[in-house]
Amino acid sequence: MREQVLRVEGLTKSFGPRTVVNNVTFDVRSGEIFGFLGPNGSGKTTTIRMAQGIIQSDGGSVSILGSSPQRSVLKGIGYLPEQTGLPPKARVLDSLRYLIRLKGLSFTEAESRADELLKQVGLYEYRLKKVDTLSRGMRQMAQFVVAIAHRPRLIILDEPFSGLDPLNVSLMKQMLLEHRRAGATIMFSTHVMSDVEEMCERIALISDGNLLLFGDLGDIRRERGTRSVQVRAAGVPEDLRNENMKGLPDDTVEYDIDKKLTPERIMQSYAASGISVDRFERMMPSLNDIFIEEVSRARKI
Amino acid sequence: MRGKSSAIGIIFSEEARRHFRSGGYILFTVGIAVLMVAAVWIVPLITDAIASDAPVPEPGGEVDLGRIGFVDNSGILAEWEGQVPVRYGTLEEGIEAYQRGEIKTLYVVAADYLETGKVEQYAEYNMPWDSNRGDEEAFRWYVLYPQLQARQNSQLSPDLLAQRDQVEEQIAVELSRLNPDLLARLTDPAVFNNYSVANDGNVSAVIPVAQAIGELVVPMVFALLLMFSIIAGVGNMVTSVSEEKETRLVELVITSASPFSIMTGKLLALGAVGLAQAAVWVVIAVFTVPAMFDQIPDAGALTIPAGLAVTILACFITGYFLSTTIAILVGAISPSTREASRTAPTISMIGFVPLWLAGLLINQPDGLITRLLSYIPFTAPTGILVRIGSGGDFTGAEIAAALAGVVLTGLLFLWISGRVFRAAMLMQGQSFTPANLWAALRNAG
Repeated sequence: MREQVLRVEGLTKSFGPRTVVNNVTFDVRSGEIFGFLGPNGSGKTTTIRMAQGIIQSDGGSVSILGSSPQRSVLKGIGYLPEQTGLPPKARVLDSLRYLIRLKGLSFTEAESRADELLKQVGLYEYRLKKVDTLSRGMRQMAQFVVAIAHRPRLIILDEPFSGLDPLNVSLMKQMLLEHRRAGATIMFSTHVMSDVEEMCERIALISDGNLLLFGDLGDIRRERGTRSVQVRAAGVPEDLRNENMKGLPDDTVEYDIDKKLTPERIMQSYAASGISVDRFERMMPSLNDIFIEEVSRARKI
Repeated sequence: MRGKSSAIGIIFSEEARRHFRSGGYILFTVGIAVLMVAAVWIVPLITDAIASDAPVPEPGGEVDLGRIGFVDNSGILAEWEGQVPVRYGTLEEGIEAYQRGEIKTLYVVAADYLETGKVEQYAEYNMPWDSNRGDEEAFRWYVLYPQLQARQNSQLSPDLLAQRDQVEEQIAVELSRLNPDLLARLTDPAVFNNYSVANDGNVSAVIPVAQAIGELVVPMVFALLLMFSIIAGVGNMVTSVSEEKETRLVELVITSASPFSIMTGKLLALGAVGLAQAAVWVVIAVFTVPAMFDQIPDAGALTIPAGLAVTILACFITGYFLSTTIAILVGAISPSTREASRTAPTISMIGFVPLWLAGLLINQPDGLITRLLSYIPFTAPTGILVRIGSGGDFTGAEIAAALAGVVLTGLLFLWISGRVFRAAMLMQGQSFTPANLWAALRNAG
């Protein structure tokens, strides 16, 4: 098993009478891209802050890069907080250099690394402009530069894609994948499921401060079983015509599975009718379905 | 290539760079400097405008000697036969005549006048820089000088005097041999020492203009400069801290630097920026003030006592330190930059109560309110300068004790800020109540 670069165990935090994180346990392993999911206000940001020692937990423990979250360790982490802004009246390059230097790079190293990354994200021409002349998406990209400039071992991003246009989302994902190939571990929080399905191997899902799911994304989907079957064939058997089905492009039909209509029965019907089948696929639930299901169930309870 | 620095060093250099480049800072520093340069021309115009209404006599013009009375203790005016100026036998007689309004100015020629040129001038002086130049010039050139010339003529041979126009230099040589003091007096007939006469006849010495400016005006001017510096410094600090809180930038900074490093870096940067500003003004003053004094008649040379210079510097540093430590706390606990910016002027204003009340305090330099304001840490830095500027009797030990109180209060605020900084800075958009403050103080690790 790969090394755990972040492990939180039994993490708990209350603000006044409200418990915002309740006994949350998960780990992030070296070299993976980890998705931290949850609806708005579920406790993701508080958990991320506690994991880095920015705020103190009321209970539980954190191990980050093999140590407690102390400043010498945190310098090796890249962090993009949610909705953070650079000082509006400062110049872009000055702000970036300041924050990158705090991560341990020298003045010149910080400046040249900031220049290099600003070119990569298409903001080089704005380097001497004031921050408040940038659009929201540009600011987000500038702050992303700060998170990765010192080539951290662990990159933690809180809602990194919010406010970005599709081009910048794609660019940020591409840069994250490059860092992952170079050996970095990436954890990001989001409530956009398609981003997670596209990038993550493992996930944790929290809602109202409680951990609902944690583990390998494929396993989680498999555990929830087959929800439908897609069949591409020359026709539809007579005995299946009245079942719950819908037509898809390319001669494909999708059957919703229930206790009566099992994948086995569908397969048998096609075999019995002699219709030749080009494709027969058991469809897993989408992460979006799982998210809605799990969060709704937890809230009903 | 610049190497890696400590968190304090990085915060210091980046904050200082930001403040030095800020338009407001540059405008304020340059604006005051321009005013100081402009003062070289403006102040002499003002001193002329506020000068006594006694006309300065023009050569060959009419002179009003009726305003003047004199007492001659030297005998130089023994031969004076005119009705005016009026001769009095003693100083007391002259002062009584002055009180009766018979004369506006009384001159007392010292017994050693010929050797020293000393003449005491008694008139109405509200401020040290009040001028009585019209009467001075009249007495110098229309009363004393003719008598000195008469005495010179009596000591030279008639032949030499007959050829006066051709043998000016020879006359001077001869006179310096016969009576060098007389020659000196012919060149500079009077060195005036001024005395102010009150309505009740009380007489008090008026300190020379340059000395008055050095000892009284300079502290007041620096109290004003301190006020400007603190307003700018507090505003910058509050904005810097509250902006990092509001933009949540502190989340990034706090993972790389401790609250102590953040606060120390900011304080040192702002201190350096404030001192640099003051240094610019002092350097400009070094060049402009002598030029200004050259244009004020009889101003003499400006001297600032060393003790006063040290006190001004100490007031500047401690006042700036206390104000900016309070500003850190206010910036950290304010829910937004806008809120913090509204609070900042209030903090600055507390320190300037002595300046608002300067008109009152100047008449009671050692009164109860003046003393209190010079001891209370929040008002002491300007209070001390105003009290010194009012001519208060303030010992070095008292000043040191008052400033120690300022430093200790600053350290107390620094300690409180250190304990609540993290908690307060992470409470974006929320009001920091006294209960929050108390909890943060108790829970700080």
